[in-house]
Amino acid sequence: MHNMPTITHQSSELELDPIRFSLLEHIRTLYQKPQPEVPQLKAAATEPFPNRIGNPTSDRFEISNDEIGGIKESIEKTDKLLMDTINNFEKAGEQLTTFSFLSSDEGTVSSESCPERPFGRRHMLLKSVTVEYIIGTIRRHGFDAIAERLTALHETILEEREEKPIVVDSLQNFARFLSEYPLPNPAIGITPDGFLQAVWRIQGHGTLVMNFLPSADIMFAAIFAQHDLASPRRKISGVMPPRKMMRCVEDFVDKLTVQ
Amino acid sequence: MTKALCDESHVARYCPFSRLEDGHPLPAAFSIRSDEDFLSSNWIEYFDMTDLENGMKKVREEFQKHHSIAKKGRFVVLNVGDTKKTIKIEHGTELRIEDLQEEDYPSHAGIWFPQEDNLVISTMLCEMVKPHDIHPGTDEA
Repeated sequence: MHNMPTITHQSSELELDPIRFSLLEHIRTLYQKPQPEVPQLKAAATEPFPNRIGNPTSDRFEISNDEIGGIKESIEKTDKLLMDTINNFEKAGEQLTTFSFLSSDEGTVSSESCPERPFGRRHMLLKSVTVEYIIGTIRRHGFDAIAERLTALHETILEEREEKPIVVDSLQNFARFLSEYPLPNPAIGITPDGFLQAVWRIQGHGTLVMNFLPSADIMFAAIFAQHDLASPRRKISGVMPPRKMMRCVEDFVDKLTVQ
Repeated sequence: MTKALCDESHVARYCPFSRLEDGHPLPAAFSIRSDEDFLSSNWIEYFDMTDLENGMKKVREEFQKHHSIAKKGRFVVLNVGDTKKTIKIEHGTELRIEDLQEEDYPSHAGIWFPQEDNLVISTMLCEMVKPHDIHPGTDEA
C-alpha cells in the first residue's frame, strides 16, 4: 500500500485524499509530456499545487503556521481545476472515469482503501473504489448502520449483472445530506438508474422518499397519512435543491424528529 | 400489440435486494427506469394454475429464462383491479396493466404510468404491498 502524503501542522494533520493525490500525480506526469489539446492542463499542474506538497514520493511534510490556510485554499482551487481538466480530457477523447470530490474538510481517508499508486495505471481508479471511499467517509462520521447497509448494497449490485452500479455523485450528495440534516436513519435502496433512495416511514403519518440525483437536486415525494383509500391524502413532490426541499417537507420532518 | 389484463388478474414484479429493506419493497422496486416507459412484470394467470403458489413457480421458471434471480430477491404480487383503483383514487392517474403478448416470453406484462409521476406512484404502489403479497425469489429460498 502507498501511504498518502500527510501535511502536519502543529498537533493537527491534513491528509490529501487518494483521489486528489492520484489526480495531481497523474496530471504532473502528463504535464511532463506535450499535451497541446488540453489547454487547462498547464494551469492545473502548476497554479494550485503548493510547492511544499509537491513531492508525491514523500509521505510527510512539515509546514508553518502561515501556510496552513493557503494549502486548504489551494486544495479547493485544485478541485475546480482538476474537474476542468478532466472535462477537457473527455472532450479530447480520453477515456477517463467521472470523478467526484468531497469538500476539502472531508479530505481524510485511510490509505488502505487506495490501491498502490492508483494513477500509475490510471484506469485502476474505478468508480467502485470511489463508492467505497465515500462509504468509508460516511462510517468515519459515525453513521455505522448506514455504511453497513451501503456496503451490502454495493457488494450485491456488483455481483448482479443486470443492476446498474451506484452512481457516485448520487451517493456523494446523500453523504453530504446526511452530514447537514440530522434525521433518523432512513431505509436505503438503489433505484433502477443507480441513484440512492432514502425512505422514512412514520406509522400512521405517511412516507417521505428522496432520490439523490447526481446534479445535487433531490427528487422527493412526501405522502401524508396512512394508505386507506377512505379519503384523498395530501402529497408533495418535486425536484429541488436540499434546503428548499426540506422547507417543503417541514411538517413531515417535524414528526420524524419527535418520533 | 398489447392486451389489457382484466381486474381479477395478478402480476408479479421481481424486486432485487437493492430495492428491498428487510424483505419489504422500497419505492425503488416500482420505479420505471429512465430509459424505459413501463414497469416489467409477469402475468400469473397466464399459466392457468389453480393456486397462487403453483402460478409463482411457473413465473420463476419463465422469469429465469430471461433474467437472473438472486436468492435475496423477492416477487411482489399485485392484483390488477386493486392497483388501478388505488392509483386512480390516490393520484387520479389511470394505470395501464397489459399483457405484452411476446412469443418468447408469453407471461411478460407491463405496468404503464407517466415518468413524471414515477416517484409518487412507485411510493403508492409500495405502500399497497402487504406481507402476504411478498414471495421468495427462488423456490428453495
